[in-house]
Amino acid sequence: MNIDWSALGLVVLISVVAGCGLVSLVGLGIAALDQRVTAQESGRATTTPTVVMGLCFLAAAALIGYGLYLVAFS
Amino acid sequence: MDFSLIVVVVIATALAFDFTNGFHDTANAMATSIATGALPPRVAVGISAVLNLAGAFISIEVAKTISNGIVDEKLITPTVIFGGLVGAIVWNLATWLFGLPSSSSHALFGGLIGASWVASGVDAVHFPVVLAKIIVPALAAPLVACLASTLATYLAYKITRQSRDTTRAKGFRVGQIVTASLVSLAHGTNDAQKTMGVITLTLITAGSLPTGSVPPVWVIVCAGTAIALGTYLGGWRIIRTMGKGITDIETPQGFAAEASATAVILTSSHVGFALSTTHVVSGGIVGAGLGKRLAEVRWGTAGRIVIAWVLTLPAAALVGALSGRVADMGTVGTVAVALVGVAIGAGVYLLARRSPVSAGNVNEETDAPAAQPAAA
Repeated sequence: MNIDWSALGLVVLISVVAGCGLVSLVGLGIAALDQRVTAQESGRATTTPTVVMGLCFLAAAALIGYGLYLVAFS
Repeated sequence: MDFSLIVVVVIATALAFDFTNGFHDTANAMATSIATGALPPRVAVGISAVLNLAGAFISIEVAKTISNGIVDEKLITPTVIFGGLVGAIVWNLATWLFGLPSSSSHALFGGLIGASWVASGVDAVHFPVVLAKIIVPALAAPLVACLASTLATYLAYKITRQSRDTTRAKGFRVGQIVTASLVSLAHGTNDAQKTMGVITLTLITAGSLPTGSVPPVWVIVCAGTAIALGTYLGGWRIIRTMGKGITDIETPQGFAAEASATAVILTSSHVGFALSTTHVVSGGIVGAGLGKRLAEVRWGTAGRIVIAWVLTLPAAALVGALSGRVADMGTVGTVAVALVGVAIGAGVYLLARRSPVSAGNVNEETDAPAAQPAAA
């Protein structure tokens, strides 16, 4: 019997980190988007939430891009 | 190329299997997107079909073995493959009738195990490999996905708890469409490859192609089209079970489930620990229910799904053994199995029409299996 426990462990670790990472990034991006809308409505500066939102969504897109790369070239 | 009857029959059966594979597994990628309304049902299956077709073309790695060493590859004849495919198709149709998501790969392996067993004896089946490559991953896949998805769902709600519901729903909806598409693409590269591998290896065994050939273009086109067509026709019964039956899904949960499932599928196939997409996504959906509120999972439905998983391998093996045995009796046997297979397919189709599930009623609440008569 030859069960690759280290591969399984790796799958657990990376999946949890990547899955939660992606969801957290998108979640933070959405929270920033919401703050941006709030700031706009109350006439405050929107710079900080816009930058945070951009960074979060960009990082999420990069993570998904890497996933796409794995599908196509692995 | 000169084809004998059995080779033609195997190719046709492989494509039929690919078709059932497609409509069985549409739910994996699209059930949560349809349930949350991120995509209209027909658009969802359309996108999934196109990406499955694309997936069939982009992958470079071609399935080089039919069974991954689960059965003795030297003893595999076209008749064994035929028996295995019939077993897999019959089980896929039966589980579809009851709206149960079950692994198409397990059905195929089960069919091959049964057919090899009767053709060449019990020694032809490598049980340690079965344990390492089927049983352990089947236990691990839903648990890993469930863990990731539970945490991800918790985080999704926690992080956005002060955001407006509309912003949150809109944002996660976009994310969900992206991850669901990625699952479809990954599915096309994996599952369409499997059928291409089966057809190519059959042609090689029959001497129609030299050893070590890559799939001819017509095989890639046929396999990709079969799986895309199956995907587009949409296994609405299974989509309803996964999208509405296990738990009530909101967009943050749908996104968390899809993101976790994508992560598990891509990670595991990258380290060579291939997990069933069906098992992963089902586990992810259960996790999405757990992560929001522990009581939300309908364990009755989840239990029925698990029973189907446990039965998949032995049931497909039994049908595979029977059909392999009969098909081995020559042309008459092969034709007989093919006819019975078609008859079973027609019978399941007629039974399913008694309680149709379609794009129109796929999102209706149900806590009964889809085979129960649906409310008008």
